[in-house]
Amino acid sequence: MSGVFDLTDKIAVVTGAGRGLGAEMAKALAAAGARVTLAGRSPEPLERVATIIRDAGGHADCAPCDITRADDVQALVEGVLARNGRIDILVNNAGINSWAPLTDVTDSDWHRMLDTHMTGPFLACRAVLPGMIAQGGGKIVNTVSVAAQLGRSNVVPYSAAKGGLAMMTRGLAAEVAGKNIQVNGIGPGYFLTEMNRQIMDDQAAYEARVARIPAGRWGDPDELHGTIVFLASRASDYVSGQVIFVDGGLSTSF
Amino acid sequence: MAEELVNMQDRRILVTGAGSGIGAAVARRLARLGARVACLDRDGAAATALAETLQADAIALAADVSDEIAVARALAEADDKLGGIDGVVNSAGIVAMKPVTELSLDAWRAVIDVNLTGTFIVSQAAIPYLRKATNPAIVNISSAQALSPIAGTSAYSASKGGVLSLTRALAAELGPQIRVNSICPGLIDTPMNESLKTKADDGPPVPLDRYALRRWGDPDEVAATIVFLLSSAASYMTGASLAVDGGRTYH
Repeated sequence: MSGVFDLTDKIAVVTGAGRGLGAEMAKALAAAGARVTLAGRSPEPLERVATIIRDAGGHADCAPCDITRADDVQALVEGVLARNGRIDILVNNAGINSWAPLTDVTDSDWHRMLDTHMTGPFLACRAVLPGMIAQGGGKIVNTVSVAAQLGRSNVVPYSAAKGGLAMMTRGLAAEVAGKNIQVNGIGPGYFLTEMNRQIMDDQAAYEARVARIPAGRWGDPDELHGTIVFLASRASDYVSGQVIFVDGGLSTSF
Repeated sequence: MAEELVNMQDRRILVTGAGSGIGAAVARRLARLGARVACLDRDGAAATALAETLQADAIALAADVSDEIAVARALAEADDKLGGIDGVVNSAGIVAMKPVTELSLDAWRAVIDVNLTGTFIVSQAAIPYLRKATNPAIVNISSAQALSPIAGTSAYSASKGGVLSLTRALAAELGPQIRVNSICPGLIDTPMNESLKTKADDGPPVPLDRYALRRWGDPDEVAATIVFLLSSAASYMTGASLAVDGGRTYH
């Protein structure tokens, strides 16, 4: 990786980095040269991903953290700044999902969904922005979802939260564009990750989704590598407020 | 409120593609509301047959919307016979269902000519008449295909995407005087979509479960939205596109 996509010695933080898409994005950033701090609730998965990155010659640190808690997020950011002196790239990826008709959604389910997908990114952005502004630039990438675009049954809290995150992306992009900070989103479609295990294990549900995806298949998590490196690198310096859907054509077809 | 706001009494409305489908449905609905309708279709007999069923004030015009001279003549005749033109519904449209590798250049051009260029020709020709009217409006028929296409509709989807952008551009340009809006119908039970009904035998069935309302739409249900956009109920709407698609687009 070189030229406009080079991330050598850039300092990155990825939330929800212990598994799934977050782990893949952390690996991609590290492979492009970034020094990555892996944030997530449980230490063990973070250590596993860190080991993979280090074995490949990359640099990774682990920072167990609940991104829905302001003091945790503050400690995360202060820790990275103490270790590395700056933060160039923030990837707000931590996410959860649950499937239920709205009438069965409890108050705590609802708040958990908004806390994770909206409050967490808000706290993290607020914590890293002063440093990015002071250093004259930065990159924020939010993991949105096709659910922000398409209305589907039984995932209303998730869709609402991701829709909110999509608009946080656009609004913040406008607010900090003049500071040379780009804020963009990645909108994954159906990827083969643990978060989707429930669908993947249901053959009919799995095939029904394949039938709707123009590419005719689910995405492999490593297929996000290119997009995350693009949005974290100089290559995207004039791209801001966009959500790039990486979904095999799902969101633009019928 | 509805009665007063969507008052179409004596409004003079030109409807293209009025011989069948959505065009015929909107012509009928307008006539029921007291409008005087100019029914334009390249099938002159179909236009005449429809106009005769409407009321004495309705007129029939035979013209191909992609023929600018025929359109200019037809609009002059409408202006002459109706005493002006207050609104235009660009409903003339054709479809070519073919994989892109099998789509001939002629078929591509035919679809673009009628759906996109025809909308341009009729709108442009109508401007001088509309400028003399009170609360004039143009309503263009785009399509749900402009927003999220299915395979095998490249020319149609491209033409309807063009109609969507043309609508917004005209809205910006004709701003203070003429409102220009579009609608994006989904699966509507019209002659144009007849082939989709029989396709179940030799191809995949139409996936009704992807429509929140789980059924085909009736042309008259689309007509109601068109009338709304023509009427003073939509007096602060321009450049908008309304999906009338049973919940297809966002589902």
